[in-house]
Amino acid sequence: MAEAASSTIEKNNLTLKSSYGDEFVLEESIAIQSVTIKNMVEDGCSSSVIPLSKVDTGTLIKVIEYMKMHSSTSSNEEEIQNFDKEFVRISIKTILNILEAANFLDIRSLLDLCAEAVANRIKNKTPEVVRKIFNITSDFTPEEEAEIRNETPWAFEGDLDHSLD
Amino acid sequence: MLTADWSKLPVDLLGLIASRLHFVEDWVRFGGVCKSWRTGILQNGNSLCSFLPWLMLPQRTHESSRTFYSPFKCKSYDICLSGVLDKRCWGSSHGWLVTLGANFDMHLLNPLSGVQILLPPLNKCQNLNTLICTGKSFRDSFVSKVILSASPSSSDCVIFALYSDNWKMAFAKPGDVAWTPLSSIRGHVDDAICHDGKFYAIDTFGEVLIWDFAGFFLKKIAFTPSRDMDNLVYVTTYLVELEGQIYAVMRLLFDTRITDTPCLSTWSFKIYKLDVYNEKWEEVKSLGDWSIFVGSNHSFSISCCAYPECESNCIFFTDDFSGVYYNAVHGYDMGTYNIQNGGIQPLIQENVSAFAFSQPLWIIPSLS
Repeated sequence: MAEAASSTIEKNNLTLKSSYGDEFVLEESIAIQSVTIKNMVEDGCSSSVIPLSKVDTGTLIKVIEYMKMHSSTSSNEEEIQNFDKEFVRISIKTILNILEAANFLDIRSLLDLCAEAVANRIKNKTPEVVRKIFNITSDFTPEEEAEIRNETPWAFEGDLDHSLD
Repeated sequence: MLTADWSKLPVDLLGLIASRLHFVEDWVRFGGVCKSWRTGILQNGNSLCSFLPWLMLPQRTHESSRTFYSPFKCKSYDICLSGVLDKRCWGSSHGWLVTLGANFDMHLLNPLSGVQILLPPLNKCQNLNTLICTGKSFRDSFVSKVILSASPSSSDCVIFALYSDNWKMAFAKPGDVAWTPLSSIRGHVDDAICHDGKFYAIDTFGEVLIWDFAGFFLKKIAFTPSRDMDNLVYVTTYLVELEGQIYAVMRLLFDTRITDTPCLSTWSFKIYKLDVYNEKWEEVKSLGDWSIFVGSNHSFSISCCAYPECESNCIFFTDDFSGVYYNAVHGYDMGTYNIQNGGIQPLIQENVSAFAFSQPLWIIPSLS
């Protein structure tokens, strides 16, 4: 009954629920940029709230902001490009959350945008600096690390960027 | 909740991030961060990413080290290589070199991974039954170009060779015991490429010839643009694939001798887009957001939208002696040709190597 009723309404709305229990109402046409949500809708699970147990509230707000901009008919290509540029000007931890959410929700363009943003922060940096930026502890033994450098010494030569930007 | 730990990202996501790196140096260092990131590049390989090209500089000494220059980083790397000393090298757009020694030995070589694959002896090819040529001249001038259709790790890999004053061609697959001659060549072939399962060659008589990878001749297309230009000494034409279309790129060389020594220098280029299906061609005045790399390599194009480090609408050319040997007194004829304003910028200042068989060469670095 509920399904039949909702499909007759012109603008279907979906309710997305974050891991913290916060609910967000979003037009179905916007939400289905996520292949995961699209599949859920097509499988008929859209009548109630869609629980996104892997996405926290802050991340979900950002993802919805992205999906709204990318489905907007009033913004041109340049505006979207500028939006994307600003969108990823955020902490590396927030990018990680969005990257994982985009992967779970299967939003290809957002995944690509995040991957590109992460790659940009790695460019020309030493592994030591990358570890600091990404808060990673090396699990290589000194021997393994030396072996990697010996295999491809050219990749570790020259003027590399030591800044934490 | 998800991991919130960069070292615990799924391998495919790590591979996706690594594939967004444009320089092979960054890609290698990515794998030096921690074990999971190393797995990310090793498992995904770099077959999905394409790095910005390097210029492999010619042999300078009798030592087995070669310099690679990254024009988009303005950096040079000396890499110790086994398998290139005293060998002539041709490049391909898949990170592999074809090497030929003065003893007729021909190999595929990935200069970064060091992997070598022996090819069948080209001097024993059926269409060379009366070959009278020393190993040295076979290496120095008998073979003009060798290209690969794909990385040897792919089952689609076919190697094509152009030789005997650019009049003969043959192909082989890795593991073959002999080369198979290609039929239907009626003139001096300038250049050849592999694209979309087909092999294309362009000759100086104004024909583009097409075969499939089994060596069956498919068709030929007339390509007869005007070559009537003042003081023109030499024209050579390259074939290059760009966004799925075949382009013919004419390199116009003029005699720039100051004294009695003839010296050919690249003056300009003309570009034609081939419509293989309708057998037509038209001149194009701009490559838009693309640039082209030509020389002894399998000619290739780069989207400068995807690789903003590379200047768009340019032809990056190296000295392949353009089919003729001459006394290059002023250094190598290589540079960047700006299609919009017709200007040529030097790439790197390089004195001509004492090893004449060894030329600067474009190579897209690859570790797989």
